[in-house]
Amino acid sequence: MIYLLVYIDDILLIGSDLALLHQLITLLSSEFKLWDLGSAHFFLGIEVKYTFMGLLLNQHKYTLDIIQRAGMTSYKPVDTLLSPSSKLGFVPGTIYSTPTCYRQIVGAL
Amino acid sequence: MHAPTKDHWATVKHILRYLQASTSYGLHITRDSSLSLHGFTDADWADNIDDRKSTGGYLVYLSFTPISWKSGKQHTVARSSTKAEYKALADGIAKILWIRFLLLELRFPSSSSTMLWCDNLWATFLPVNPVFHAHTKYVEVDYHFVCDRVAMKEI
Repeated sequence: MIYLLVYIDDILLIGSDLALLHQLITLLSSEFKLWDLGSAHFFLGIEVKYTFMGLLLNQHKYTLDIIQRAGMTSYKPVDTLLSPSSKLGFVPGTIYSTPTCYRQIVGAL
Repeated sequence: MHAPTKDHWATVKHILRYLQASTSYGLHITRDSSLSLHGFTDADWADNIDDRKSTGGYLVYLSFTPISWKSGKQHTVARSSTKAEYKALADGIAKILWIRFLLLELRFPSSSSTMLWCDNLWATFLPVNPVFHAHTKYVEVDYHFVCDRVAMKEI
């Protein structure tokens, strides 16, 4: 059995029978022009890494891009996310000077 | 979003610094022949300081791999923690049913009921013991939804 995932012009083939997969690729390439990129490394912005135990999916590059866009590459990383007692609400405060930049970063998260 | 304050930006910066520490984290999909589906649900109660709505969520695993999750503010105000937990439970069940149908479509039918764990004793009593029913009428729709699925042995 083969699973075939199509997203616009990206195709992902999944199956355990390698010969059958190659047969399908040949069949598809006789119908339209395609590039066989080998085993998956990047699909829909998600990186695929092969490990001893299986697969590791992450968004390493995307995350670094956001941090770079925020100009924070040299900032010190922190181990914890937010304190659960964080009290952010509709409280009045000093309006942030570049709201567009704020929206772009938050929108990318 | 329309009027971010300096405090909001400080929070975003904290989140980005956390991301910086966790860029190598990811979803590990491990080889496993058993494709057992199980899930967890949880909810806080009235923790939003502005409107006192609760936050609920679920996490669904296919063997050792998390495949579906959600955490979000509930649409209605829960008047007890059991109601908040129950809402999360019903949302989790709705998702699990969808995944069970998807697995069936992919030709991996689930052979047994899906285990769903939640940490509220009252919420787990309700579907199997209708005695409490009179006190909990306001969760009726969710209640019947959950009961039906437990009775059908899907959960």
